[in-house]
Amino acid sequence: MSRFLLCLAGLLVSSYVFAQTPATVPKQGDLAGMKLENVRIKKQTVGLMLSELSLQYGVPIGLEVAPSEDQLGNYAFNFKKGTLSELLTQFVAEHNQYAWRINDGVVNVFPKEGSRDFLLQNLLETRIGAVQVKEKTNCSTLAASLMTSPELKRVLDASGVTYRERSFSGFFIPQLGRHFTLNISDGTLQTILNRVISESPTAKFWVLTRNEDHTLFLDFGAKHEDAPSGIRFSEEDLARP
Amino acid sequence: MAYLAIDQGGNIIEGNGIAATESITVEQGVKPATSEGKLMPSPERGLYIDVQSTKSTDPLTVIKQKVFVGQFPPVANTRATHLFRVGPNEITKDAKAGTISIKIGPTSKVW
Repeated sequence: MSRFLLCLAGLLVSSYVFAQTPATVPKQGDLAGMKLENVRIKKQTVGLMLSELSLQYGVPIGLEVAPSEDQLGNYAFNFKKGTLSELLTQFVAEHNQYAWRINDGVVNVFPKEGSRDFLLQNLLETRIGAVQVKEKTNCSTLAASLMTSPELKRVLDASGVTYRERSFSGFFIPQLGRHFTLNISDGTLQTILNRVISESPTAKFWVLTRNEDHTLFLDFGAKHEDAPSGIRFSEEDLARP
Repeated sequence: MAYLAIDQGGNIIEGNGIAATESITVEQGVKPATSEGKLMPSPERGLYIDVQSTKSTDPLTVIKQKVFVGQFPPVANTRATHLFRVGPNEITKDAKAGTISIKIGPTSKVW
């Protein structure tokens, strides 16, 4: 098949078909030394930039957004060749409010000590009694379920902050994996989030952000379960005038 | 919104290396959760559906969206052989009025 034309119709429909593809998570030692080449990403938020890195290269990343972070700005990676460790070191040199660390095979990016948002830190360190993820759970359902758990709700209520779900734009509702399940009897929010993105075949990124209007977001970044590996739209392609 | 890739004969293409994605710029309001940059493989019957939603508590949000539909060869790490773009589409989400309006931009062949 050579050329094709594009046609669009003004329909409002909401049904999807998903299937499973396996995902591999690099081991902790391998993760820092993972080779990367020509990483060029440009996004409006630090979260989107790290989410893109995570999903493009299969690197599980969790992000606690710094209180000083702009809601909308210009964030970019322009990295020719090196390891993930070198890329992250370059990132924290350019964004000096952040530090990074690998915990249990997940890259955690967080504000340096002294500049962390106490509420976000407190939430991530709060222990949750039991978490069960059933098959066919979507990312926003899990986020809402965690943030409305009694343990986290207590922390949020005490601070006068509420959890808010984001509106949506796109071609598929991000899922944790059709056959993905998880049972955790006791763990902090951070360890639970890290386990989810290290084990889910699709979700590889989480971000916790506090907003100016006394709300906060917990989001996951997930690829489509059927997305074939090895093909992607390049940043240059999408930026062409 | 629904998007269909069709061949020169007007037939809907299902599979055959077709994939779509979007890019989003927020002009006003809150950044939505998006499938931005994420590859959407060819769905059953070749019909791509772009879902737009808003929360009742969201402020007026205006986003500019570009939709990209490409055809990829069956070889890993290669660029799309053909790439089409729709947009920029202007999407206004007015939760107070209970409306989401979409002004579709032009369709163009990038290459």
